[in-house]
Amino acid sequence: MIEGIQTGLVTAFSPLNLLMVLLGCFAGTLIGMLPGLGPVSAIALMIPITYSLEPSSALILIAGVYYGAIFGGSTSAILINAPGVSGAVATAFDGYPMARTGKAGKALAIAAYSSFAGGTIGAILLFLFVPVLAKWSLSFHSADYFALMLFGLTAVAAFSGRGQVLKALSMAVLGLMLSTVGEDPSGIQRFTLGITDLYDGIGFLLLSMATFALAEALISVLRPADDSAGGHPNASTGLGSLKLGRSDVREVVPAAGRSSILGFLVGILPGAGATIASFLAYGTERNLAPQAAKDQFGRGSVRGLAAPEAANNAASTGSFVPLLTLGIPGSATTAVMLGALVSYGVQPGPRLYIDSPAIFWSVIISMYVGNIVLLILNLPLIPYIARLLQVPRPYLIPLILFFSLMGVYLVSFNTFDLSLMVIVGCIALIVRLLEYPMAPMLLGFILGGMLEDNLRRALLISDGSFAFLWDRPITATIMALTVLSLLVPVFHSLFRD
Amino acid sequence: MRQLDDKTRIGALLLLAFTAVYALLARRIPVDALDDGSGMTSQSLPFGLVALSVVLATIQLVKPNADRRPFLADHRALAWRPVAFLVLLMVIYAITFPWLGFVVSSVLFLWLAFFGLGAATVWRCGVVSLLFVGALWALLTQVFGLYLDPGALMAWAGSVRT
Repeated sequence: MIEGIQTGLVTAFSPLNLLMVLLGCFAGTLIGMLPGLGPVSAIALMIPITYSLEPSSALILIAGVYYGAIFGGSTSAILINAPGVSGAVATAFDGYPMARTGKAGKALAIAAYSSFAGGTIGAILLFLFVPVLAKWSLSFHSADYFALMLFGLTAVAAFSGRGQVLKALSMAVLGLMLSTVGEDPSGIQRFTLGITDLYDGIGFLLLSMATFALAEALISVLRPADDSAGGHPNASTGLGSLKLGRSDVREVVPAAGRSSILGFLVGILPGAGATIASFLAYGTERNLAPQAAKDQFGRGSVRGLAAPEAANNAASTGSFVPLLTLGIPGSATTAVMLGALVSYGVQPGPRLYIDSPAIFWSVIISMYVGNIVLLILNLPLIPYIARLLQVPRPYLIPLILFFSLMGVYLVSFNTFDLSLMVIVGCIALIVRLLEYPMAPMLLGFILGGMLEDNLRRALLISDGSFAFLWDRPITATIMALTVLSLLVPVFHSLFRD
Repeated sequence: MRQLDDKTRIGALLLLAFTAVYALLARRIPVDALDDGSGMTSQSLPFGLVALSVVLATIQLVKPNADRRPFLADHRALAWRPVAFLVLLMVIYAITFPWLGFVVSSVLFLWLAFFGLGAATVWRCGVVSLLFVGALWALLTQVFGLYLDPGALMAWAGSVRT
């Protein structure tokens, strides 16, 4: 193992490979900032370019692009409330309110530091526990996944304001309903109204862009006075200071630490990934926060921004455990990475760790080098990136609308999605004016498909009996946590008055 | 009427209406004749969600609401006209995109949107949108190698010329 790590270090720190990671991070950040082009598209776009490189350099370039694209996605979520990738949705909850109140620089800096913390803690855990964790991830059954998805759904309580738990739950159910559009696990079409473009269901990006970016842009036109509300001189257009105060550091460090561990553990589970990790981390941090800090969530809480950022990066690192040790891609991004690795002649799987430790460790080390370079590269660039907010409103709003529409088109290349997006955006505008929270709807939508899939499989294994919910200790524990975290806020909401 | 003008109640009524339509469509889902042994059909989850949604919406309708927030009175004075203008532009963009293609429809969308929101003079808005879309087109097609639809009319014009 030590020899493998040494070889990995030598490979990752050669001048050519350092240049590759630098270029990768820069290109990844630029691509990731464009709505619709997330890490998956960024890596896919880079694969043809990497064919002319040595496999190790190619992998390092891809590692840089990967982390760069994740950071780029968070940047657009914070600055213009356009989370181009699902992992950045929770980042927008507090990142965007911070940007609106003149703290865009601080929000971007917290995102960069927290991502770095997530990547670092993830890498350390990866070094220490790779063989054990690979075994643990395989011990998860459909029943456990179903319980985990339900537990993820209880995070809706975290996205609801005071006395809004019922509204949040309704929106989560609405999201689950929307997730049933399209082909079900047995291949039957549901709610497609005979429209072939709906056979694959509603796209996540379409829904997130329409409900966040598009609706937000329209609301800012509807209420022009709100953009300068708050009386802050830098409100909505300024960068503000990049420096974190002592109180900020005191809030960010423990939140990032906890969320990194949680994110890493969730990331190991194939299929769970960065999105669930970021939502769970956000919900957990809100539940742990004292009442005064809890009220700040959704209004620019430093903890609320650090938690999902650390968790999604740690989960990205964690997702390499099943990929490298079992050859199982746990997410779309790692599936593309698997394709790239195979095309370079590297076959991930149980034998890789034993037969080719040098390759195994150089991939992991290059991922981490990408993380470091990203921090060094992007912190000085923050003032320039945040200038996006200084574009005058009559230019900025049409550009946000245009990027949202284009982002959705670039994913599907289907013009039907453009029309659907306008319809969803208009409905989202009304729903937001009615003061119903949108985040629970997205969470329900993300988890809906996986929830139904795992429920069916679990029922099939248990011959249609719901006893699977308490048969295994791990399922029973997650279910107990789910019931607890669901009942407490509901009772609180019902009997508060 | 005043009792009904409440954001929570209007929201709950809209959710109930959506749920009713969803339930009607759920009844039309064909049920797989082959039982896979799970006891679940394609209708199971949708009907479960309908029940849940009805319960949640009803509680919101029935529950006494001390913090009543009027909807109609709150939003009558807002700037609906520019919003309607932008929505109309987006609809036109979605309709014309397959015909005019990425470049022409995008330039027209941005041009009209910039001008409509009062960014600058009509010519300046046109130049800005042309330069912006041109740069983006070059980045996406020449650097990233993505295919952007030139549009049916452009393709037709090209075939006529050849």
